Amino acid sequence: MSSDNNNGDSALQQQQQTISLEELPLSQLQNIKNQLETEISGLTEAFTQMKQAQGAFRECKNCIEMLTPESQDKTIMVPLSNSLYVPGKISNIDSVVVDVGTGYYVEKSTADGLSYYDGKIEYVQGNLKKIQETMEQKQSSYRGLMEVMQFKISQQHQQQQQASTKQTA
Amino acid sequence: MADSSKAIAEKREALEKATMALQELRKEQATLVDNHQKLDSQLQENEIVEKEFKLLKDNARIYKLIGPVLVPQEKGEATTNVQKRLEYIREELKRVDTRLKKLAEDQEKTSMSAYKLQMEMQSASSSA
Repeated sequence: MSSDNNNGDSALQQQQQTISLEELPLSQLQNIKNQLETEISGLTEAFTQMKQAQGAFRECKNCIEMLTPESQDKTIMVPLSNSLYVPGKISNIDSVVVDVGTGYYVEKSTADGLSYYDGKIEYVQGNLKKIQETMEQKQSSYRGLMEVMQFKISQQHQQQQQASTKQTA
Repeated sequence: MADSSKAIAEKREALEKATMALQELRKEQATLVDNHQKLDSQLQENEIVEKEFKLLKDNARIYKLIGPVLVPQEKGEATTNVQKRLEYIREELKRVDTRLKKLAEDQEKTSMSAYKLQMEMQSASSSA
């Protein structure tokens, strides 16, 4: 509901912007352009981070799925650090301990663990969609801004040329 | 003539002061905005944990990571902990918000007075 409202607001702002853009001086347009560029690159970064988070959750889910009855009592290598491993045995295939954030870990059954990560993946997916939508909005206003700027620059060129031809004449 | 140049010098000094003050205000604003973002993400994370705790059964096994060890903790204790943290973060956010509002007001006032000083200096030097 609130996000709908926001979209409406920014759409309104965009309209107002496109109306007034042509009246602004080039230096201010340049400022707006820089601002938009920072916003877009920030959003791109957030998007990649979200993608990475989603990948991490998928991996966790895959790991839980590996805990089948056949894997009971199988030997695995347990990483103690990035480069040090010790052999271990899978003694419990029914429950996992899940990091729920802020230093808290919860013991869950494998089924609950799976649905937990499913929920996480979906949550991140929703955020990804939101980021993409705002990014598209920003990019379209960026394109509009570039058009106005190019128009203004060519106008300036023409004026300069006219002035110089007058001088030579 | 000497009077007007003195007046201009005074105004220039005042303008410099205003510009400095404005810079300070902007600096504080930047750190506060940074702070606000950090608090916001902490709030989100804690809210997610709170939501997760609500879904758990009362006998669920919860561990708290203290240093490198996972220490078992009662669900009730963990929940109150998170709630307390949420309360604290929300209060901090409120504090930062009011400070930011105050800063915006101060900024506007200072930049207005700087602008006025500039105008006065211009008119004074053009008439002199």
